[in-house]
Amino acid sequence: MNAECQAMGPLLPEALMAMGVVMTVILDLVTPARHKREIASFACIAVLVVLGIVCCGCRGDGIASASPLFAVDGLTTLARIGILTATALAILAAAGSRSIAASGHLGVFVISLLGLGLGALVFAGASNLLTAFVGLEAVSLPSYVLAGLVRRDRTASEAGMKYVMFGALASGLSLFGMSLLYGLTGTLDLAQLGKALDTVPTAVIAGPLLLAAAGIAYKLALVPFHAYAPDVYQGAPTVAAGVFSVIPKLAAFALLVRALTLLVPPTVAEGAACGFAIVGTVTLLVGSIAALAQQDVRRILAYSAIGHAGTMLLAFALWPDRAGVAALAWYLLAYLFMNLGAFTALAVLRDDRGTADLAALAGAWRRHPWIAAALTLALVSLAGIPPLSGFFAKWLLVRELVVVGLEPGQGWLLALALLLLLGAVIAAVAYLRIVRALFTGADAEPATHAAAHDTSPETVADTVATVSLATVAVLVVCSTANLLLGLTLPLFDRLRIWCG
Amino acid sequence: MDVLTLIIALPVLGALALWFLPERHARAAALVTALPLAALGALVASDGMVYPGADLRFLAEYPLIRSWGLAWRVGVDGLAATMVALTGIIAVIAVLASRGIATRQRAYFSLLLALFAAANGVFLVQDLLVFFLCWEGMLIPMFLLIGIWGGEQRRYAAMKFVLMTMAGSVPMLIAIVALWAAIPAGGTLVTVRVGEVEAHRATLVEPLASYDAPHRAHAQAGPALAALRGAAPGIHGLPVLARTAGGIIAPAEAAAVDETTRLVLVPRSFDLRHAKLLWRHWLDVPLFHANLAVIAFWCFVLAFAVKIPVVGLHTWLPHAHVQAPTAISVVLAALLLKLGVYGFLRIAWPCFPTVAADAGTIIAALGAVAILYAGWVALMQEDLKRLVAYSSVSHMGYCLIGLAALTATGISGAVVQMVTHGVGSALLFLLVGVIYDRAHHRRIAGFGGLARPMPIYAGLFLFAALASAGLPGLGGFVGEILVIVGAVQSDAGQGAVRVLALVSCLGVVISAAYLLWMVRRVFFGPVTVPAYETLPDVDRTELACLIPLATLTVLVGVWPQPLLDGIAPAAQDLAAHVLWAVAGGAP
Repeated sequence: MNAECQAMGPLLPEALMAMGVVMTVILDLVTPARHKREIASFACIAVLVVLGIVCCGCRGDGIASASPLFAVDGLTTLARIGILTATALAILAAAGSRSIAASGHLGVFVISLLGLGLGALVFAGASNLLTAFVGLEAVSLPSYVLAGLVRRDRTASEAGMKYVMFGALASGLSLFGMSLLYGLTGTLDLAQLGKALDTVPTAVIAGPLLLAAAGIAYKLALVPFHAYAPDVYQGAPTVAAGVFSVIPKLAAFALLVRALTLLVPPTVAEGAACGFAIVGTVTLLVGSIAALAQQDVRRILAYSAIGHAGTMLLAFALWPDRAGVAALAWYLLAYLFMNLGAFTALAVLRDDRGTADLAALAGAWRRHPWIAAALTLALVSLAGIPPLSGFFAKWLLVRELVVVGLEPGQGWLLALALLLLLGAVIAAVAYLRIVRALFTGADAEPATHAAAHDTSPETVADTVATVSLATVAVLVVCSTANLLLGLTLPLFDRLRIWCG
Repeated sequence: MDVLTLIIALPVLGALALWFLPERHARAAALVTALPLAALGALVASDGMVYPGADLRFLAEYPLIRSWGLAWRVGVDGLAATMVALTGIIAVIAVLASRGIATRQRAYFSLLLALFAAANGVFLVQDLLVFFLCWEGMLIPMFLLIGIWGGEQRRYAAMKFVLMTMAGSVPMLIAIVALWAAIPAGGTLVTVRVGEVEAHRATLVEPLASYDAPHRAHAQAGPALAALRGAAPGIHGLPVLARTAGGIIAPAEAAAVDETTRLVLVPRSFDLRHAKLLWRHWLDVPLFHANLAVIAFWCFVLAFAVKIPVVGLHTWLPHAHVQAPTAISVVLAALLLKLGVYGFLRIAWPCFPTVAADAGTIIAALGAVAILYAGWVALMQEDLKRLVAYSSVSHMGYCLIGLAALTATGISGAVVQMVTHGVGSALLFLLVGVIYDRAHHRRIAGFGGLARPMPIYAGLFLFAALASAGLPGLGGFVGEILVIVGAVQSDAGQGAVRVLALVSCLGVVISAAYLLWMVRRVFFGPVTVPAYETLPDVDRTELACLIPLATLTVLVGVWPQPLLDGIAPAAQDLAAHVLWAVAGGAP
């Protein structure tokens, strides 16, 4: 291995990923339309190879800075593993989706997914405002494509447009904040910025920091940057909605942890923790309560994603104590499988019924017993009911809050833990409404079959529908993780070391 | 695998095995699982009747996460054994009574079996976090069982049940985490009675494991052991007597505070047995102008009160009962309601004895209100199942009074009441199910003179009503009289508990009123609906469900001694523990 390769070593995953994008673009150009699924296979294998390299090369101890623009430390490695796993699963889910195949855009879809994964890797590893902004845009642009790619009705166009408009606003705010920070300190490097900010009065730096955080808040769909999420998730292809709810969040949280570590001076840390607690609680309650009023399952899941982002943000209520970070990492891992599982299963049901209304899903169990079971597992896990992974995720977070909350004068953290769990109970009602719809009520006729066949509803309903192998694979992986991720908890203390 | 883990795992294995069998054999397979469950329950309970001690038997411990002190810990004492035996019986009855389930039998029976696994888990597990997992593990099976196979308003009833139970257990989860977090990482030192040290030494999983390797235990205990040396100089260098998987019990001889108490080091863990030893420690942790013990106690009480249910938090119960299929109603009344009382016995009372004694009057008042108010409401019910549901709420009130009395008799009475109510309410719900299967409605006013076409049924119903109303010689009487006697003997709450117990004696009159009035309206007088002239009497399967329960009611009524023998040691120990703590924990 020559010297350049040595220098590239820490950034090998990003480099390979970029090569994967280019090769997929070329493949897409030369592949005839009926073989588009092979492109997905290639992309999935490419992502898995990169994931393998990350896993083999990871050490997690110490910060090996690859360049002034990138930090390759335990946090980056964790984020890389999460992002690549999610990307691989999303590509598989896309390959299995009937509506995406029917639209003829599977190639573009897969390329966008790869691009989004690459952008997320850059975003997560950024240690410089420049790379952070490039990463943010590299996540956003493929997202816009994904949101509007499969245009079945006007909601898809609306979704794409809303996503672009909101994204542009958030990027603008973010860029403005970053330029102010640069103006104050004359550097873009996060570590140097942090040192320089120590001497600047709190009142001066609060504004720029908040503005710069807008981009992250938008990717996390935190209140008040959450309004786009339900409309986008509803209009976008269901698989894409699942991706939006997972991959950008993984990257944004990784960057948030790094930025907080390097950038926020101790003088502001207390205020930041309080701010995170407030924003997190409001986001959590808005997500949980608004989900109750929704009729479209994708909107319910959108509000659920908002609620979960709020819950995860409460990990920073302990800042500058880093105890919450490991809990957050485990939460994100569990959340990845829960949400991708839910959206993939929902995509199958939606393709079958033509709509994702609660009423239209009634009795879906008869036709899709295993899909319904996988969706139920994901939803019950999202609701945080033991012994599924979603419960342990919440439990880890609550544990950190309570341990600190028992110290004198920190009782508000106990109240925060109570609010977190009460929010989860409210959200559970929304999830259980979906479960209830799946298993009870008369079976609505599947849109695609009712017209084609002249059979009675019972016979149509009782035939177990076939699902593509790729979808089955995604659902098996996600369901297994939902059930068994709790078994990794004995390794949790090791995760703590990784998170610094 | 030890026998208690087997009792919990057996229904889970049965539930999984169901999916490999054809749909039509699901009920038979469930029965094949339930029968050994009942046999194992009877085995454990009969062992308890001849075992004199109050300590936990059949102990087993498998570490799950060592650094947190989380382990799969199971153990059984007289209280738990009684409840496990009840679970076994109810499991068989519920499977038999599920004859009417026509659709998706595999799913139905696997969820039903999951319910029994979770219930047995709650009764047997001796680890707070695993207890919580089992506690919540009942939610989703119950939600689906009511939501899929229930009556017309099943969706509303299922959601209400889940929502109220989950909301109730949120504070409990925080309390569990707080109890764990309040123990310093290296463990904490507490004084305990000699008897308790002995009990724990006898029940440790690795007794004397580190006798020859004290350095290992020292290294593990770290700073706390150093503190122990500081607190009790002179023990330096002495071997550690015994070590659990999670930590150590420190040199008892050397650290003796006096003749009757010992200083021990309790490691940080979720071990429920340790939580009982640490009752004084919880009092010393300040929290919100009070202390951890008080706040955690009320968090637990809230969770248990929703399950019992206490009046005010009972609103889920009538809906759930009315909408659930017969067998699920039976499980709900006979097992789920018992979990709440059992939680009091297993956690709230032993871990927070002084707080429990202070709260005695409130708990007894809640019990008295339940008995009188729910009885009053039952008087005006038009629906048979709602009437029985409210009578359940009413009868569970006696358990609370027995607990609040803090005497061995009262606590024994509460446990006996759990058993007799479990059997009695199961009987009543089954009987209501019988008529519902035939008439397809449950309105009291819609029946009349049923004794003529269905004489055996009418006789059994009258029997069940009398048993529930507390006729001497039948089960219901034993529990209620023990509770009242126990409460009258007690001085808890400066005599307030005694007064409340006497007032709640009125409940016996009320329950006789609503039950007998209902029996008269349904079974006697002329047959009001001509079609009911030809209703068939109970058939063999129904008799197979009803007769064992009726026999059990008579048995407990005329010869309660074996049951009391099983319960008494644990009840006496609990009462002694609470009174000792209330007296200041002094020797």
